[in-house]
Amino acid sequence: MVCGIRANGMRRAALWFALRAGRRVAAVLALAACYAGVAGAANVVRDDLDRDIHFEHAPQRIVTLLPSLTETVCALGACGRLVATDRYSNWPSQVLALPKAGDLDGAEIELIVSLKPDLVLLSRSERITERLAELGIPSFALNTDHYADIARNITTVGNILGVADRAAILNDTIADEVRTIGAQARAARHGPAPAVYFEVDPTPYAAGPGSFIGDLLTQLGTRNIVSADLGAFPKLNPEYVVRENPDVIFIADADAQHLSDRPGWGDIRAVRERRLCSFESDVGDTIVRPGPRVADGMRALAECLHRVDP
Amino acid sequence: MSARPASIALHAGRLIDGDRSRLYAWLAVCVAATALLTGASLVIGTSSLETSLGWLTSPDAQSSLILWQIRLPRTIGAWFAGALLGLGGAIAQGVFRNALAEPYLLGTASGAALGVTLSLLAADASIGELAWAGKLGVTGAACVGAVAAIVLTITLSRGVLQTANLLLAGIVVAFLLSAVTSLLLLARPELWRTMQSFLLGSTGFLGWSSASMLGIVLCVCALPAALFARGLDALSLGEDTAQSLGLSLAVLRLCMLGILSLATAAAVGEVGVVGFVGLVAPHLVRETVAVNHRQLLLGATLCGGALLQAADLVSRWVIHPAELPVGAVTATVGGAYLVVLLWRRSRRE
Amino acid sequence: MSESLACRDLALKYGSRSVLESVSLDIEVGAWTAIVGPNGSGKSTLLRALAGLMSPYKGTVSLQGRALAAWPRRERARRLAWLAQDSGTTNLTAAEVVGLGRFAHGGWLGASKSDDDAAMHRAMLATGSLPWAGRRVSTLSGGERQRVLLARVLAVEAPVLLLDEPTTHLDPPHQEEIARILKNQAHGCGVCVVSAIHDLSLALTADRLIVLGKEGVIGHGTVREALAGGWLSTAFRTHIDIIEHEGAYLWRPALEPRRRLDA
Repeated sequence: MVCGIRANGMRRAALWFALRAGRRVAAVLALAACYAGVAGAANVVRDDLDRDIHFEHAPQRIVTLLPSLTETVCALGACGRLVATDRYSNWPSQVLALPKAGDLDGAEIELIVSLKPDLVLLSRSERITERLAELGIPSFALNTDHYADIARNITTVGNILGVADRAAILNDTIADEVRTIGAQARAARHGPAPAVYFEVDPTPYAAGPGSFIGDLLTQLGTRNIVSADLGAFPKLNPEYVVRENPDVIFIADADAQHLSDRPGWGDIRAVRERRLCSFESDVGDTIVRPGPRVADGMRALAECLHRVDP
Repeated sequence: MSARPASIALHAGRLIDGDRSRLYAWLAVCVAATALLTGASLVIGTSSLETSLGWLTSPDAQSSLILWQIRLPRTIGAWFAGALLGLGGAIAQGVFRNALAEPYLLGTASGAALGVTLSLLAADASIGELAWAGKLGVTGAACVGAVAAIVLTITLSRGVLQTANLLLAGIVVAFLLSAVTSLLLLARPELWRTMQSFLLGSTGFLGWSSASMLGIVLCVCALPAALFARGLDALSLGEDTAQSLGLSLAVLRLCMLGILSLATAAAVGEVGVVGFVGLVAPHLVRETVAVNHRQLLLGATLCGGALLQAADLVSRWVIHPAELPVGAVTATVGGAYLVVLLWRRSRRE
Repeated sequence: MSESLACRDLALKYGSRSVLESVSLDIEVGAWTAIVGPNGSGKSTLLRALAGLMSPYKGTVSLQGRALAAWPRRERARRLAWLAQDSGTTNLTAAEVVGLGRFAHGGWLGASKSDDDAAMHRAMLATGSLPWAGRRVSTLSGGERQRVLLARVLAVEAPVLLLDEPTTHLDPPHQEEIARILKNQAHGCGVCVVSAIHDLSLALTADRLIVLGKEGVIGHGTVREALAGGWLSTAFRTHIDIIEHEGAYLWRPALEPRRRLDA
């Protein structure tokens, strides 16, 4: 059967039809009965842990355990269905009032259970997935590392929530904006592509082109001094940055002041000419979260790039 | 018997020829290794060997910068830090008369980690009390934290006379300060990665100022340590015997622990928590040459320096241009060494 | 009062347990005094108190008329040498160990002066340990090691020697060596030698005895006085059979069961 669901009443009705009418007619009618569900689509969707999750109806009480997933749900207009988020979700402002159910290191199982959600959206690396399954709480894991995941997740979440059409529109909007920003950035540049270094941590850990941030920077027409074979977030030899002599450095504000103290770094073009880009935390959120506000993040990156490297 | 043959016999007795030549050989090996490693670290880094060799012969501005402002002070700083850890380890093993003692056993690592956490928090937060930590910078805060931990340990054990109390107090302080650090990091989980880097050690940003600071601390520590080394010899005959010889146990322990705390604090402040160097360096010396404590301190210092230099070299060569945390390299090599040691011991039995 | 080592009204405790009470002794100079008694009677404790390694609960120990605590550390170390029962493990050579005996004279730097060398030489000669001056102490046999440690004590050239069980675990020939050296020090060098000794026959070769029992000091005097007074039997609470043979006193173990004195 197409539906394969436990909607007993409808199944019984469908079977009755099948028995009474012709088989093909019955099948079509049963299909129609399935889709005329109470609150939207009935679904089997495969998550990123390769589990097939069955949805009888679109979830109405959702817990999200990752900021980008929170933003996705809200961008699809389903903010009202959220009953709890993780500690770091802070956009849009209405989610601040929701109860906080933990973060990547440890989710608060008791709180989640007490809220009786019918869906928990979480990242693939979350540890509580099995525990939730044991307690009978449906969870759905999503990969959120790459740029390509944004559109995919919007589509998937839209499918689950029964707002697939809104998801398609959102994806198109985002794609358009991103394309425009990228084209503008490349057109506005006079010289060659600037070499950029994005520091994630002062150890130093850098964002490589394989990371989400790296992808955005590439779309803006810059050249990442980190080569792709080093991985998404390599721990670099500081000498490497000196050798590559980036034109622009993206770095946290607190570390930006001490860059010339690092041996040899005073000679880097970006440090010498103060071509440093730092972002406030709320803007920084749009840059590091692979979510629906990716265009805003890209815009922030492009603006700073244009300012320090016209 | 006339005086001359007597003193000859005694002088010869102080270090029999076989041992003397072995000690000199050991020292020579350490010095040669250091020279070799220094040379190697000039050509190993993010560029290929040929490129680096080319830089040595015909340098331009940037390659000079890399060779003389980055690679050379980094390897020298690593040597000084390793020497401080080796010295600290030899002192710890002498004061506690235990071959498994190492420089962090009085809680210095946890204290330094807490200092670093406070200084990182001060950078973000606007809490007035933490401003001092911010001003000190990560290095200064780590040093202060390490020294504070030892002071806390000695206070907790109420003096330096009971080694068992000292060791116990050190364990307690280490756990306590680690717990406080973990709790603080809960408020700012994004600092975990920085903390982890600190706990794994890093020689990446050692410049000339760091290297010279470490060098000065090494001189300040090594000279009094060599002076007090004979007291450790007396202590090795037993506490009662040492006391009867006119040695003040409290003075000896306080001075040695003071040197230990300064040496460890400086090393941890600059390169983070690098394990095993302080344990393995004195061990290696003792396994190869039998020595008195002054010779042990000298040997362990030289050996520790060469060890950390080698670890630094490995850390930036294996996956270049990325690099491994130097503490991970020392842990791997140190762990392997201890396994070999265990195996040899069990074979002997 | 002797001008060397003495104690007045000494009371010693381990925690709350009282080991000795009201002990007053004058140690004779130029003689070898052996402290004997059953296990737990406080031989080592008394010796350690006399050496200043243990603070007495009550009373004073005086060295050359002055209280031990009043002496500056170095000077006291030059006048009072101590041999522990168990001398840790060390990697040093025999000569280095003996050299440590000069610590109180030279101090931290350990640069040896000529009189240091001479003293060390004399000490090693007296103990016959010169042949292995350059060997590691850990490679020597038990008897050789003890002679090196004794040489370390002799190198201090202190007027008072205190030795805790210097002959335990040694073969009879080595025990003889040690006893001979101690006797020589006492008579030949006028040193005040006090040792705690377990072995009765060896203890009886000493000049004087301090006999300790459960109640405290049973007696302090020459060996002859001790035997005449039956101090040993009182101390050990069983009849100790001592025979005299060619000028020496020997303990004869009695293998038939005997009646205990207090039964």
